Amino acid sequence: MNSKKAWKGFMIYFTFSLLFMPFLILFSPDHEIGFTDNKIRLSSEKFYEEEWITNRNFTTTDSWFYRTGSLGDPSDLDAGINNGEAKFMVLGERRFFSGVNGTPQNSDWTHMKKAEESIYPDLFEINEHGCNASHEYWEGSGNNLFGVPGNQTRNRPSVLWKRVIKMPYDMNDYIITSSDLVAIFNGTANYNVETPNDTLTGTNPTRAENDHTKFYIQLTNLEDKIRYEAASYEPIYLGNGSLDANINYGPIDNINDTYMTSAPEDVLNYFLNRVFEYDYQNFSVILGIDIDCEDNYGQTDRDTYYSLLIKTCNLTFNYERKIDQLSSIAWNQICKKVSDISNYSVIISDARLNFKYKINDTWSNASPNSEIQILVNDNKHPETVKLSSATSSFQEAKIGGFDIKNLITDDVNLSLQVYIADNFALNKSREISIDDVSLMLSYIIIEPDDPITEGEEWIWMVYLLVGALIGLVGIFSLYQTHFKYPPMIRKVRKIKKKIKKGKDIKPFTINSREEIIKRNLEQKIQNLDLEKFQDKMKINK
Amino acid sequence: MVKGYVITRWTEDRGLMLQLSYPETLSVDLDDMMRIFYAHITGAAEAGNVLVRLEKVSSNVSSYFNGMDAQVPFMINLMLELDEDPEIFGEKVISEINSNILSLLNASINEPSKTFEITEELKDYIKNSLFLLERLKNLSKEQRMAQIFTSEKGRAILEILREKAYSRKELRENLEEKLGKAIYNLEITLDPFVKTDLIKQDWIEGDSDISLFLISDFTIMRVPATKLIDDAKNNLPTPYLATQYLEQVNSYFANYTPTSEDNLKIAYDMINPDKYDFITLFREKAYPINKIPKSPGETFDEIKEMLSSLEKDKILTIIKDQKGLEWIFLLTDPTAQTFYPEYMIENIREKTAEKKLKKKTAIKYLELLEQFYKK
Repeated sequence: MNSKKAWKGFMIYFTFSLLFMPFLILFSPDHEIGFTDNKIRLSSEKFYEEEWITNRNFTTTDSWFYRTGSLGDPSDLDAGINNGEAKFMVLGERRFFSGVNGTPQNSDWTHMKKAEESIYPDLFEINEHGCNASHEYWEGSGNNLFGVPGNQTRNRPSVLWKRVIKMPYDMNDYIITSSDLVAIFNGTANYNVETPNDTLTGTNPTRAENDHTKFYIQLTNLEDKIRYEAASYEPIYLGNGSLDANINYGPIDNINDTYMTSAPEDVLNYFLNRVFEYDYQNFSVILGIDIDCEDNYGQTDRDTYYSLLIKTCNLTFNYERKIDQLSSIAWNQICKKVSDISNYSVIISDARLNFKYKINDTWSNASPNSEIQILVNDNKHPETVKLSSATSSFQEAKIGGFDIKNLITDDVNLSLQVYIADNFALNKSREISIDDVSLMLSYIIIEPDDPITEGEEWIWMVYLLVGALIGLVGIFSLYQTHFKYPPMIRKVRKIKKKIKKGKDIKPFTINSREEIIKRNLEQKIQNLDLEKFQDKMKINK
Repeated sequence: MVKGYVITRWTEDRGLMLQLSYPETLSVDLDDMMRIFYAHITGAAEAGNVLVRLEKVSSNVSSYFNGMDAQVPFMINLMLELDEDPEIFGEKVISEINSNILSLLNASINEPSKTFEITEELKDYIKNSLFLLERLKNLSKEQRMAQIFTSEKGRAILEILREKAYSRKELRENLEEKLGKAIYNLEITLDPFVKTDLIKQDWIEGDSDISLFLISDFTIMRVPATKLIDDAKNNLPTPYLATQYLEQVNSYFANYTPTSEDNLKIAYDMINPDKYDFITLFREKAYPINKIPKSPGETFDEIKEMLSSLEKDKILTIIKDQKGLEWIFLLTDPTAQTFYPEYMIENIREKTAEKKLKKKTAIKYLELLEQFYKK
C-alpha cells in the first residue's frame, strides 16, 4: 500500500519536473548563460611530466604527517622521521614471569577449603619445607595421633593454598608464548593405609578405591569462575604394605621427592591465556592436597598420613606483546591538486608511484599477510608490498613503479600505510623504513585556441534539456534509493535509519522462524501440484 | 590429508608400547606418544579425548584414551596435518570410529587365538575409515549444513546467534555455559558456518573482538523429489509405476510435519557419504534394482543394506512393476533448506531497545542483512 502511494507521488513529481522545470528556469530573473554560436573550435594539447611529491627523501618532517587507523590496537604501532627516512615501528617485546618459585612461603599463600562443606586435614601448615598436611583417619573412640577425637566422617579432608599474582602489565596486550610448571612433592604414611597391593586382614574387608591422596596445582581467575588443573599426581601406592587391621601401626612407607605431572606446554599456555581473559592483571595459583581414606573394614579403621608435602612449585612463562589484526599506521602527504596546474582541462596520462623500503630485522613468520598498502584519496591500490619481503637494505617497492593513474582525481592525497593483517605475538619491535618516495605524473593540458564567449541563441532548448535531465535524475534517484529494493530491504533500511537517529521503534510483525519454515515447505509441496493429481486419481478410481 | 592411525597400549611392566600403526610406513616417535599420554593422565586419568599439537612431526593428533581403569588402557591416535582439526569431520564420526577400533582391540585381547584375523580386520577397518575421513573433508554445501545440524555444538551456536550478534569471546562463553565444557578452537568450529555462508564475521569500530552475524538460516527437512515427480506426471518410467509413486508421495506429504527427531535422522543420512551418493543418484531418476550403478569394490549385498536403511528412514521406496521387478524411487528428498533470517530484524530492534545490543553493532547487522538479502 505504502509503495503504491510512493509510486504515485514520484510520478507526479516526474511529470511536474518535465513540464514546468524549463519554464521555471526560463523565467528566473538572473538567467544569462548562453553561447554565441555552436561551432566546434580548435584546441591544442600540451604534454608535461612532473614529480608530484615534495620532500621525497624525508630530509625534514615537512609535508609529511602520520596517522594511526582506528581499528585494531593503535598503540601497537608508532612512526617517526629521522636520518632521512620515514619509519613505521611495530612495537613488540618479550617479558618473563618467574613470580612463583621455590619453596612456598607462609607470607605469600593463604589456606582455604576446597569447598564450603569440605573439612581440613588434622594438621596443615606452611613450614620451612613447604605446604604440609598430616591426617589420621580413626573411626574408634579416643583421640588420634594428632590429638583429634576419632570420627568416622573425617575421611575426605582437603586443603588448598591460594596465591594471588598481580602482573606488572595489562595482559590483554600480551600472549603467553611459552610456559613451564615444575612442582615437587613427597609423602610419608603408615602401612595401616590400604593401597592396591595390600592384602586386607580384618573383619569384613572391603575395597573400591583404596586409601589415596592427590597433589595438584590449579590456575584460576580471581573470582574462581574457571579452574584449570595444570599439574597433578596421585601416589596410589603411598603406604604400600599389608597390616592386620587389629594392629594400629606398622612400618612407615614413603614416596621420595617426585615431580607432579604437568600439562603439556601448549595446554599450559592455553590455561594461562584463558585465566587472563577474565582479568587482564590478576590470576591465582592454588596448591592442593586431597586425602581420601576409605572405610576398609567392618571393625574400626585407622589410616595414618604423617606428612604430605608440596615442596616446591616453579611457574615460569614468557609473554609477548600481542599485535592486533587490522591495526594500521600511514605516512601521508596532501599533494597539490590536479586543477591547480591550469584553468583548462587536464588529462592525467600516467601516474607512477615508487618508493624504497627496508626492515631492521626479519619480519615475523606469524604474520605473513601484513603489508605496506598504497592509498590515494583513501582508496586502496590493489598491489601491496608484503612486509615479509623486506630486507635489511633498501629495495624498490616495484621495479618500474606502481601504476596508480586510476586513483588520481583532482585531489592527490597519498598514504603509504603499514597494515597488520593477523593477530600475532611479537617478541621485539620491528622498524620498517621508507625512502625516495616518488609520484611521477604525466599529463596533457587541453587549451582552446579562442576564448569562450557567451550568447543567447537556442537557450530554450538548453533549459528544456536541463529540466528533463533533472526530472530523469529525480526518477533515477527515487528508483535507486527506494523502488529498486524489495519490501524487506526497505524495512531493514527504515529501522537502520531510526536506530541511527536514536528514535524509538515500535515492534512490527514479521514471520517467525517456524512460520518461514512452514511457508517454505508449503511452497515446495504446492509447486508440485499434488492436490491436482489427487483429484485426477479420484476421478480415475 | 589424514596421515593415519597410531594405536598404543599401556602396560604396568613396560610402559607405553606400540600396538599398531596404519599405514605401516607412518613414523611413530614414542616420546611424542608419551607426551599425548601425559595429556590424558593429567587430571583423573579417565577415558576421554585430547587434541595435541606435535610441532616436531608437523602433526595434530586427535587422541582417545579408554582410561587407566580399562582392562587394557589403549590410546587411539588419529594423526592429522597441522592445519587439520577433528572437528572438520563432525562430532560423532571420530568417536564412532574410535569405539569400533576399541571393540576390535578388546576382541583381540579376549580371544588370543584369533589375534591375527582380528588384526587384519582392524587394519581393513582403519583403511576404510581413513578413506571415509578423506571423503568427509570434501562435503557438499548441504552436507556441511547437515553436519552442523547433527553436531550439538553446531546447533548450540545457531541457537545463540539466532538471538543477536555476539563477539567471538561472548559466543565462546555462552557456548561453554550451554554445553558445560571448555571450547578450545572456536575458529575451526565456525569454519563450516563461514563456508556455507551462514555467518559473517566483521569488525565493529572500537571493539576489541570480531563480531559474528547470522545472515542466513537453515533447517533440514524432507521435500518432494521434484525431478522424479515431473517424470511421474509424464508417466515415467512406466504409467503403472508413475501412478504408484505419486500415490505414495502424496500420501506421505499429506501427513508430513517436520520434527526435530526426524530432521536429525535424515541429517545423519546426508552426512554419510555413501548414503548421500545414493540420495543424489535417485534425485535424478528411478532405477530398477538390477541397474543401480555401483562403485568398484561395492558388493550387491552392501548396496542392498544401504538401500534398506534408507527405505527404513522413508527416504527411498521400493515399488514393484507389473512384471515383479523392483524399482527404487526417492520417496522424500532430504534437503538443507536455507532461508533469510527475517526474524532477526525484529530481534535487532528489540535487543537495541533493551540496550542488549550496541547501536553500532545493530547498524552493522542491518547493513549485512541488507547486503546478503536473498528472496
